[in-house]
Amino acid sequence: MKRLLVLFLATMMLLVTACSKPSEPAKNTEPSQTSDPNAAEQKISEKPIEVSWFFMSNTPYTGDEEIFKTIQKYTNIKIKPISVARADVTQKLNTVLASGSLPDLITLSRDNADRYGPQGAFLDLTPYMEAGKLDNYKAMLEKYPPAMDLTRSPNGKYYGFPRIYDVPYRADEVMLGRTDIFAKNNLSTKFETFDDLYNTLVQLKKLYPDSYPYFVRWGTPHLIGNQAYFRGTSTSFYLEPDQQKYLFGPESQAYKDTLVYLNKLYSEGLLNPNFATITDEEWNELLATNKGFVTFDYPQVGDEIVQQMGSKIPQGFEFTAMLQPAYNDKRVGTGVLSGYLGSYKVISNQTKYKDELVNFLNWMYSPQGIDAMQFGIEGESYQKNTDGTVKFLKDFQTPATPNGTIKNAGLNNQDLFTVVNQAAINTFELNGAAMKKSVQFLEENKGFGKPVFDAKFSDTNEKKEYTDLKTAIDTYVEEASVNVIIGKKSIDTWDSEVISQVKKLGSDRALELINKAYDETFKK
Amino acid sequence: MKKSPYRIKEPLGDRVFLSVVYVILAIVVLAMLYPFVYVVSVSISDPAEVIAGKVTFFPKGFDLGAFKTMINHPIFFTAYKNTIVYTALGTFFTLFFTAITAYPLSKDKFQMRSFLSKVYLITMFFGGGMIPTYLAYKSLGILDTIWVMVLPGALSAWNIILMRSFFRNIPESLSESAYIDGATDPQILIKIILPLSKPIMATIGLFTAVGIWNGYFNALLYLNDTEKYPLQMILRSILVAATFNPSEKDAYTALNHSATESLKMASIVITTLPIMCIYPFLQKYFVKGLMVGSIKG
Repeated sequence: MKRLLVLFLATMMLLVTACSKPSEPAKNTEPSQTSDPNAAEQKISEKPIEVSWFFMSNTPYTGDEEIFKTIQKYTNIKIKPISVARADVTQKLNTVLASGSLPDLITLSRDNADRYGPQGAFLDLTPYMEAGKLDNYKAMLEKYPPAMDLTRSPNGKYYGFPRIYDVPYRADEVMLGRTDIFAKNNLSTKFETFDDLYNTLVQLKKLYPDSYPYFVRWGTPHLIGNQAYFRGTSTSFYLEPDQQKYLFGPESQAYKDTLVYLNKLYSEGLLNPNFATITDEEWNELLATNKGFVTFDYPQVGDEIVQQMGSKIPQGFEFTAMLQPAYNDKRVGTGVLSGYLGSYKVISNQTKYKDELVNFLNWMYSPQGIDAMQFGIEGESYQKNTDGTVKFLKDFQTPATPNGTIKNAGLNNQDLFTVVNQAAINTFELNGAAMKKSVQFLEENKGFGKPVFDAKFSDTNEKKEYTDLKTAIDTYVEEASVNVIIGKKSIDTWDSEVISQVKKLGSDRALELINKAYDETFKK
Repeated sequence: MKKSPYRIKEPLGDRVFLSVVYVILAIVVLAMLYPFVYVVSVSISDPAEVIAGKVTFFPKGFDLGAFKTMINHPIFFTAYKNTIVYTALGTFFTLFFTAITAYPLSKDKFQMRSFLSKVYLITMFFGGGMIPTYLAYKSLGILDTIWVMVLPGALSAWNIILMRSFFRNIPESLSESAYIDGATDPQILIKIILPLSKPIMATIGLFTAVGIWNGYFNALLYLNDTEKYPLQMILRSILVAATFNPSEKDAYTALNHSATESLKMASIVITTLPIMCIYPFLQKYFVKGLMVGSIKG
């Protein structure tokens, strides 16, 4: 019996040692330190190499997907993906950073890049830029001026490769509504004023008595935030585009008008009373059962809901953009994405393949790399038609082909790609009927706004002080605002009670801090 | 209840009391069963009916699309296999190591007994913390391997104490007579003690199996290779809608990939059903095993 035990233990030890070997990072080739920075034409990687890439993804990637085949084909780099679900990404990233065993390539937020870069965790890109090895990257950052300032870390160096929207604009949240119901009842979808919107909602309530015509999801800040935004103000500190200066929204008359307006909608049953707690499921249900008609949301939802509902969709259902009302004769454009976005890729300082990865990321900003990350291998995954449109040669699932059999190709995945070009927007977004109609409508009516770039703090203590102040103030203002909307508190006491309390909480100091940061970011 | 001609009629008071008890128990049963029924109903209903909020108890429309989507998930079968392997291996290691540790600790003649017991006890109250543990696994070379899923949890002080108490309740005379017949300690453990310890083995085995089956945290921290992910990682990525912040620029994509209700429920059904099926078979040991040490004989 003893012998049996010994034998068993011995086998097990063997197994342990045998199986732990593959955990070592793959070392296929020698570290190539030989590449000459002055060489005119550099290959992305001379030899085939394998690197690990940490990124966020709710569907796990195995490394066999189209996108990774594409990368290998063009760059000679095999990617071993470490994909972590969105809910867990912070925890895993923190463990990985704290333990000091970093993957070769990481997709993370600007904050993390700025914090750990200067500590030496990530590769400093500045010498590579100076040596001209990051020409595509530099050209792209210079094309969108705030990008250079925003990418630079507080210590004056560059660590991250930001995501760039290389398009005039990509639609973000817009005013959306049941345009089919509006057409049926001869109602205009172009609101001149907020009173105009109010009158329309009253009419809808008469036509559909058991509905709450105005319904917004994602909680109170989202409800008030949109109404305030289109009156040119905000629920908190915001950048005033004309003065190029931060102001505190709730102090403004426009914010008070917002609350009075929402209170009116609430008391007359025009606003879904469940606004603070409504879930996505409940919101979908209201939309699908003709109990909600006007909202602010992402225009892509118009196509998604149709797809989800399938044959059960109400006849003629259409959920597309409307023109947001003007306030004091000024119509604020909807938020758009263009140029810089604060999602970064960084290279670990421990990687064996620094030069290769620098080349790789530079490639992602080149025309070939941009198309490859969006559409795959030219001639194999897709082909470009003469009019510039993209035709896929494989059965990928895209908004235009929702029943495609290849679902997880990794193309157009925002945690993988670095640049979005117009062809990608056209292919992946504007192919849905509702989305196409929404964008066209807003374009015709000049509904789109301009991108806004917020200040970035260079001093961590000041940043913390500002964040703490802002959190306390925002929480207090939100509670007070809800009380006004549901009629528990009169707007007359707003200035004397709420604003004076906000001052006590330190709003002036917060303004001073954020304005200083803004000047430091852009007016150096 | 079987009607018998000789049945003594219960007094009215008892009958009223029992009826009340039955009514209350029925309500409790309903409250406990309802979530399960709802999950199953939603998972096999037509997604459009679910969006319209029409499914409350019984399924509406019949659609197995959600299950098809689950099965077509790129790593579904790999993950299922992984979970089964981790659960089987992990449970085996736990029982094996716990038994060979608990046995000497249950013997009075073992001199290091009280010292070792104290050493094990310390680990119940003090842990290394997340990062040091991570670093320890890293230097052991078990990160991103199957071993990190089955070995670290194999020996827990709690299980050792449970099993040791159970072993101690087995009359010492059994072992002594075996000694006289020339049996060695391993023989006594395998041929005498273990066959008498089915309840505790079943209890610890079930606890461990359920724990490993439902666990995602170790996989999240210590595994990088998607091919090694257990099923719970898929379940989690489908179920836990990310903290969604609409004020974040480009937040739309977080929403874009959120799963439908039917898919969420189908994933729950698929992942929890097998482990639920084990319960009834082990239940008879369960009560006995759980009461270990509650009565000093």
